[in-house]
Amino acid sequence: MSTPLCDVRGLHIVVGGTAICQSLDLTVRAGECWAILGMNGVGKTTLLHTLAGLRAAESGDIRVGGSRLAELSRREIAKRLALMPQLVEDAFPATVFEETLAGRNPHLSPWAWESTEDEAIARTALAEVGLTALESRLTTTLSGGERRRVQLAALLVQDAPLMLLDEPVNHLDLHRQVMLLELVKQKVAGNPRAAIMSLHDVNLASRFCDHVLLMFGTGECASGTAADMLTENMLSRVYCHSLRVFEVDGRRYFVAA
Amino acid sequence: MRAAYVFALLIAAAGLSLLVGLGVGSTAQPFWPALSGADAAAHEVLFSLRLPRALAAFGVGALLALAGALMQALLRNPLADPYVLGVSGGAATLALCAMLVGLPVAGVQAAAFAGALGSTLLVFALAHSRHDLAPSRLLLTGVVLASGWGAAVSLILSLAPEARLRGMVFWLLGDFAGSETPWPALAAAVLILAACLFEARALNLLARGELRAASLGVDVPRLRWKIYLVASAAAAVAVTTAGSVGFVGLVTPHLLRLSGLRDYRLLLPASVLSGGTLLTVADAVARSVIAPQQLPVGVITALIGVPLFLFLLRRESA
Repeated sequence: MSTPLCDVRGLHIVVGGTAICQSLDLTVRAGECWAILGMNGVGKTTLLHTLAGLRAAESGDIRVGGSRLAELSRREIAKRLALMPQLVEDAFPATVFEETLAGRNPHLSPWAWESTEDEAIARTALAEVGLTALESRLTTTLSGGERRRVQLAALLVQDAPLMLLDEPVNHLDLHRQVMLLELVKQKVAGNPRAAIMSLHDVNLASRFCDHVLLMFGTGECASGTAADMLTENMLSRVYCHSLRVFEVDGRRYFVAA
Repeated sequence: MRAAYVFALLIAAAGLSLLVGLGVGSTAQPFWPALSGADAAAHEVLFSLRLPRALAAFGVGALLALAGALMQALLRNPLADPYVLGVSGGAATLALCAMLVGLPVAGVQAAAFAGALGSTLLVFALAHSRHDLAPSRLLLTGVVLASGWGAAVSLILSLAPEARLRGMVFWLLGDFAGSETPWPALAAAVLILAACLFEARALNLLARGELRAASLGVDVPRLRWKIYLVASAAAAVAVTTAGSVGFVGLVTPHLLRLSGLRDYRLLLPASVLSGGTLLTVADAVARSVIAPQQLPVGVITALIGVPLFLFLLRRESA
């Protein structure tokens, strides 16, 4: 079996005295699409940032593509994994195209300018998220949903095997939620890639993800296939609220009771 | 293509500003005889007085604009510049102390340099916490220290003997009369520009946030330290050469952003050119507007800078 894209052993994360996860083991392989589910403030973003090497864990071992994260340079990490952040600052204006092209950074040497090939990659990504028409607009003039799509385009442009997405469908309308997650799934399926995304919508997780990590908020986590994790019992523990499952056209839907 | 056009314009403006700096002064003299050497005395004025001064103004303007552009990316705040962060306040306090005890020009310059760098280190040390360096805390620390330095300056001015007061006030307002050689400022501008061009793409990313920059492969802590030190060194050399000159560092990068230069790979060299141009012209105005009397150049930059800045701010919020 090939080297896992992300291999986590005994991960402890503590923020402000509260445990986010304790002795978490997680193995993400190529072709897998993972959802992280948990209540607000449970530490989904912190976990994603830790996996991206943006903050240190209390203890534990994270390997990306076989190498320990702590031993890789930022540039090397950025070639192996890409993060779509939940929030993006824009103190200074940049166009949609510039913002997307920024994703090529880890692939360029310090003195190099983006080549026409890099620009073509950025244009393709903008077309995939349906933003070609807004290419030269400033990101500050976009709606929240349009900004999310710019961030997704930048993530695709970074072209890393492991994609970490922090609430990728925030601010998106129903149609675009499905469209963008479809796009992520298509990038992962049958490719040497994997995605880990935090989501708020159990139904989107059940529709697009084959694996799920549940965070219970006590430092306790559970992970496994979507079929094993997405049950009334498990989800009721995650959300501290009972859920009902309905089956329509062979697909399971979860509704708060 | 548009960038090439803007750069051609900036280079032409820089050359023109140096010509103006040569041609204008507290004594009116015909330009061509002086340049060709037909008029020996005028030739002397041109090359041993006006040329070094115009070049010093250009170097200082370039340094200030560079420092402003760098600080703005570092703090992700379009209102940041080395003066807002207390660099000039620290320099002014120590320079005035040196003047108070009657040190010669070299001593005052050394004190200004030490004050600028010392203030920088102080801001950094105070704003640094266990985990990281929040830009907002850095900015606040700088602003508070700057107002502290302002009080110290007022204290020194109120204690200073009458005879030294005029020199002190001119130093505080920015003045090229005391700058003997333009080379430190020009050399520093070129060196610092070269050092930062290497990081220019990383600066583009840093301006989008530290998290974003780090996730795109930038070693943020290393870059942050480098930029802060380099920008402070730029400000220190500028303050040492010309005293306290405001607004060039703040306004120049914004003027360029408004003309479409957002990429730091273009913004940094353009800042050097246009900051130098602005200050050279301001100094020419300061020397000639009520000639033979000279005005402090800091007054001219503030008189141009304040309305321009308020205009830009209004435009941004509109």
